[in-house]
Amino acid sequence: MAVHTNPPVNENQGPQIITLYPGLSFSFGKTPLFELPLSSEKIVIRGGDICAVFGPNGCGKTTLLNLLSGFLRPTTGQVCFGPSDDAHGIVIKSSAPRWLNPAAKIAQWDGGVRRTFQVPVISPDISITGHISVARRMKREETFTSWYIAPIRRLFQSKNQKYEIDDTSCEESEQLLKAFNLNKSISNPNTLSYGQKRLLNIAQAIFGGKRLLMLDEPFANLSTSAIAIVKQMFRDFVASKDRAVVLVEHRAKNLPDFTNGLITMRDGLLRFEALKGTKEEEERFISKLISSYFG
Amino acid sequence: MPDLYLSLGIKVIIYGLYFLSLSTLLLGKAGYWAVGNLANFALGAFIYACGPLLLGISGGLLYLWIAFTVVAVTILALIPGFAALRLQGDFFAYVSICCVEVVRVLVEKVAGPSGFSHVPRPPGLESELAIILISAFLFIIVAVWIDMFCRTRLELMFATTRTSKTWAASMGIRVRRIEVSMFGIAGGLAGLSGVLFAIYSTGTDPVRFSLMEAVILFALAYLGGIKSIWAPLLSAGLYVITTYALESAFRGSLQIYAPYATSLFFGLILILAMAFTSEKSVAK
Repeated sequence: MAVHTNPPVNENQGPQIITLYPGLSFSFGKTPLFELPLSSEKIVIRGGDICAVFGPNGCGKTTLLNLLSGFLRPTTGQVCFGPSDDAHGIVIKSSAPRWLNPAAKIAQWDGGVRRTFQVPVISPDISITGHISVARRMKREETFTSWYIAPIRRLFQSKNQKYEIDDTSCEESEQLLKAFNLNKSISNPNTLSYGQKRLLNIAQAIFGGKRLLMLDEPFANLSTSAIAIVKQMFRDFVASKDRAVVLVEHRAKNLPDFTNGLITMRDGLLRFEALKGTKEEEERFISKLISSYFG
Repeated sequence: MPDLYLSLGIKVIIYGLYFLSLSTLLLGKAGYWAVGNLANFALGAFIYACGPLLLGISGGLLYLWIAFTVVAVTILALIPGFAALRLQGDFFAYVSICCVEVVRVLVEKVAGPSGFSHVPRPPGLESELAIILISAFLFIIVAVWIDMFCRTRLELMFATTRTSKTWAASMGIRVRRIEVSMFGIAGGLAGLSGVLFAIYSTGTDPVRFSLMEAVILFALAYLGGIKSIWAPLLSAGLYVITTYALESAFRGSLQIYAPYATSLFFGLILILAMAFTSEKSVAK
């Protein structure tokens, strides 16, 4: 089993997607939750990586995901989206003004960063296809004039054309729903089971995420077959080496066969462990890690 | 008798425009308990009346003044819009109620306890027939716009934001921008209905801008429904016709106290209606 420090593992490394710089820390008030010590190397997640955040309950995994998706600001240090010399990159700093919530900006960064939550979020007012459609943002909707123009344009479109997504996207969304065994004709998504709601959220993220997916416990409440489908989806997602997945997962057995990096959190310290080896080697490594971390 | 129908018809359409702003846009799309949207209605009527009565604007310039009034109310409506970014549910409703009181006090200070009277109508809108035609035209334009709006992805963005602002932001929806914009548009629309009301009634009766009135209109908005394009007309019809019937019934016996008795009786009817109307029967 070869364990590497960052930068990770892929032989054909993709571009830098997220970089966590040493000195990054987060505290709730005066209670420190986690930090990346100044003495450690920076953590770089690159295109092609599937990176799992791993640690005991309450260690701050979801908080780290909230920080990476712009809902929280670091107490010290910074996180950078894109290469550090990229003019289009985004830096989340501790000094950012409190009113500046960069979550939407990050979600739109470089074609799309999407996030799912621990508890699936579903709107009873939106159809199944609507859920998928809304995940892909269109720049023209950001302008105030679109409020006046879009309804007028809609007057001259057929009633069957739903929500102005093009045919390719429509086909793509239907394939996704089919892959996840979700019936698009269900009118009220609230009637979906808990696992199906989670799958719908994951399908949404995959449809809208062009660069990065951040998923909070994506395998919770899913059947073994659904887990296999989701894993394959993630592999396909990163196959082009310009996209990455960061996920929080509790069950170690779900990790070895498809993640290639672990961000572990123990005693408030962030560490990066790269995984490179056969499935059996990785399983041995993870079980060793679990026993050393959690006893 | 036809005059009575015309008068009731004008009121139904003007309040229909107001309910498009309150029930369809603020309650239905943005999902806010904007009880105080009546403040925008009151501001529309008040600012329009200030033009001819305090600033001496007359003739065709009144149309420019109407446009200015609508823009001014739109801008003022952004204030509760920014408040909405920090407040939700009941807390927003309290702030919204405060807005009604602030505007009512302002109107009373400037226009006196009886409000402005003899507000001139702009040229071409002197007759009630002209007022009903222009009001109906505006109502149709706004209703068609909202109906088309509901078929665009903007509708999805609002449904997402209503469900969870965090969820919406995680999909790149600029929650602040769309919510504040919605408050501006809804405020402008309420302001426009206020202007039409001032033109029609040639006055700014403060009773129409009171807190009690705001609560009644909000309850009616909920009762009429928030999703159908016809719901605002239903709410407006209920309001105008019931108010007329109650005021006619009380006018003989209670004289100057008739409006208060009407409000009390109206409130009672609404309580009973809300209590015995199941959620499913409320028009969607």
